[in-house]
Amino acid sequence: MSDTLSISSIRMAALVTSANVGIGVLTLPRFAAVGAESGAPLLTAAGILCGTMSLLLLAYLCSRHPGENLIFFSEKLVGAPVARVMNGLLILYFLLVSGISLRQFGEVVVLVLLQKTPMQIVECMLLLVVALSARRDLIKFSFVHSFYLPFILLPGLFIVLIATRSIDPNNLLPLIGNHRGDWPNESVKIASLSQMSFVFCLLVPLMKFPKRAASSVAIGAAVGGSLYLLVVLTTVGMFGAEETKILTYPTLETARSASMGVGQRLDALFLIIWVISIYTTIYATYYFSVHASRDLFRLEDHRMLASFYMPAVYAVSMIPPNIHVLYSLWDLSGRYGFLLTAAYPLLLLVMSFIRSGRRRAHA
Amino acid sequence: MPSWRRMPALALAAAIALPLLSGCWDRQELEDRALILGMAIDEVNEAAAGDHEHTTHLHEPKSLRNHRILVTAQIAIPGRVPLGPGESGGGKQGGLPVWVVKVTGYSIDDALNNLQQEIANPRSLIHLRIIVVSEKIARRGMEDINDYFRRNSEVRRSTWIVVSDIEANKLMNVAPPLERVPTLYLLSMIEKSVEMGKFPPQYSGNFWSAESRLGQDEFLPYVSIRQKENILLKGMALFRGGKMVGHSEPIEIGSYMAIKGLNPGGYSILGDVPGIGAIMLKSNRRIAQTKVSIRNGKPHAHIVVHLDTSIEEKIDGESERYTAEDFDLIRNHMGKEVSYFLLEFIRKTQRYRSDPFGFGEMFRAREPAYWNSVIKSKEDWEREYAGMTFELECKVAIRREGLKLN
Repeated sequence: MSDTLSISSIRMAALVTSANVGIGVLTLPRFAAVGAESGAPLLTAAGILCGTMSLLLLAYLCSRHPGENLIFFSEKLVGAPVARVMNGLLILYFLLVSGISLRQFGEVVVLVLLQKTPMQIVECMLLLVVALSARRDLIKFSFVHSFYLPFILLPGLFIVLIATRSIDPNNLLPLIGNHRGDWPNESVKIASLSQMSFVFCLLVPLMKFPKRAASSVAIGAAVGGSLYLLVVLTTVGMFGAEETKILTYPTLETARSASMGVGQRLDALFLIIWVISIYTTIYATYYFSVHASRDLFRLEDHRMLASFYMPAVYAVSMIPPNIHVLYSLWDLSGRYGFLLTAAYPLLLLVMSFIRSGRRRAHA
Repeated sequence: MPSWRRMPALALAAAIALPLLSGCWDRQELEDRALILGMAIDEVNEAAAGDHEHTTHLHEPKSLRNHRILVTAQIAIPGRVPLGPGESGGGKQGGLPVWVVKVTGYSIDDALNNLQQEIANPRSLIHLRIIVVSEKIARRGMEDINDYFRRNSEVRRSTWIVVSDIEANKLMNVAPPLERVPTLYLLSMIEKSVEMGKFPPQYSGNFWSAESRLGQDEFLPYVSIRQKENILLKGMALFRGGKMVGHSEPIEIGSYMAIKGLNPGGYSILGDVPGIGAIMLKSNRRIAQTKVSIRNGKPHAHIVVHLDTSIEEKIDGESERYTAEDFDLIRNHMGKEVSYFLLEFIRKTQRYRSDPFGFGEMFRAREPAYWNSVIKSKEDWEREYAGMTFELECKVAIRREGLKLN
């Protein structure tokens, strides 16, 4: 019924932002501080730029094939066998990401919010909500994202702006950090955060103007990236790089410290928006797996798959025995995942250029 | 519209969702919690401490021999803590609105586990507002104490940690007439001094951040008791390498705030001006500019402090002239006097090799070449700080002098 509607450019941008802002918010300042000390904001900016570039490549690629989504046109570009293997890998990757994100969510909730509730229950509830909403079609999927976006952005911005009062500029100098860090490696890790919105490649064919996909994605990624950047800037500016390195969830501490004076317990507000942002992120990654599988297996309906993948995601979330392994796994999946989600579209784009060149030569 | 055949499934889903979504798993009544409002940590003599409770260990851990501490916790008694100004809870029914429990242990957590064995309700630190540490413990090192409170997710970074020069547990009993809950009195004492510009906002969070930085040493409020019932803010407890090494005088808190340019101004300065007499100046606003550089391979700082002041008192007036005619004389004289005792305080911290100002952080930020080649650890900076040179200028401005003009 709603399939006859189309997706506007703004809603596309909103989707990209709300999918990107999520699981990284709590821990990003720590990763950035470990990577570049006081250069954390610059490192974050570099990472975000890197991620945005890869998203733009994908958006451009999709707008060159406005009639079909990635799963279908990739088979035409590189041949069905190769494309199916790669698409299958993408589906597995995003299932893995959903699982790890789910576990990170569970860990935080059990540590700071609901200490007695078993983590399994917390995870199951979120997974249930995600799986139920993943039964909806693509249009409704985009509606959900654009609906929740203001609830993520506005309070997030509010908390960050309050926290800026306590920034000490010395904590952010020198701009590139005191010691030379492994910038390429670390920025790829941060870039992988923006791949959470990879799902937009399934929605481009439904856009009113598929040619505008790239500009929508650019705006969306820029807004989400700016929020990440602000979070890193205030957290490192407030605590200093050395302190940020040893805090498990630095952003949570920012929210807690920001509440001084301006009404206690701003962290409650922060945790609420954080839960919403996690939901939209896991929703996006899970939805990609479900919907891409439907197209990969040429199924009529994706609703059965939405339930079918639940145990797999839950199982992945239960793999890490402790928080340390969880974050090493997150690190690994981010690094190799970025390779996959950036290199594969690049390959497709190159093929797309070659094919269109050949077609022109034949004509 | 869902068809009638799907109704049972929906009802089942709703039935399952109801207990899960309402979030009752962690439900806990306020009355069933032992809310710890304040805590005091003291050293304890092994002989006087009495038996081990053996709650967390059977054999004494070797690394912690002679390391026992006494924790005095103030637990709020629900219903007896006065909530508003109108309520007359407490007092009349006899006794304090808090319950003071003393336990010993090898660490904070060991002691708190012993405490839990003694009281029925689960302990909770979500309302912990102030932690008093005795000077002996602070001089022994705060690392183990910091570790527990930093790890615990219930403890806020806006909790205060203060060092007392006497046994810390005595401060848990100070209940002056102004406030019915002893801990809250101690807390409002510190918080109000921050509002009045008598102490910088050095919450536990700031203390911990400073501890982590390589180019800054941490400090805490240093308090004492006078006349049994009064709490005195005695200065700043200065730390080096996680251990307290000394303390400042109260006016030196003002020096600290002037050098850092922290507002509002709060301290008054008493000084002699030749030909005019003793003058009391109250600082209203402090502005400070610090420039750091490397001179002959040594760190050097040039500090300019501006103080906006007003005349509060002129004692033993030697001249009957309008004070305004002598403003320049007073300003110049007091400027010199103030810059002398500001430098004095810096020298004192240099002797302690403890840099509460964070000059090191300025060098890390602005002179990274020097910093990266010389400083590898916190001790490196503490050593360099002792040899750092300073130039300090203090410019005093007099803005007003009250309702009398001579």
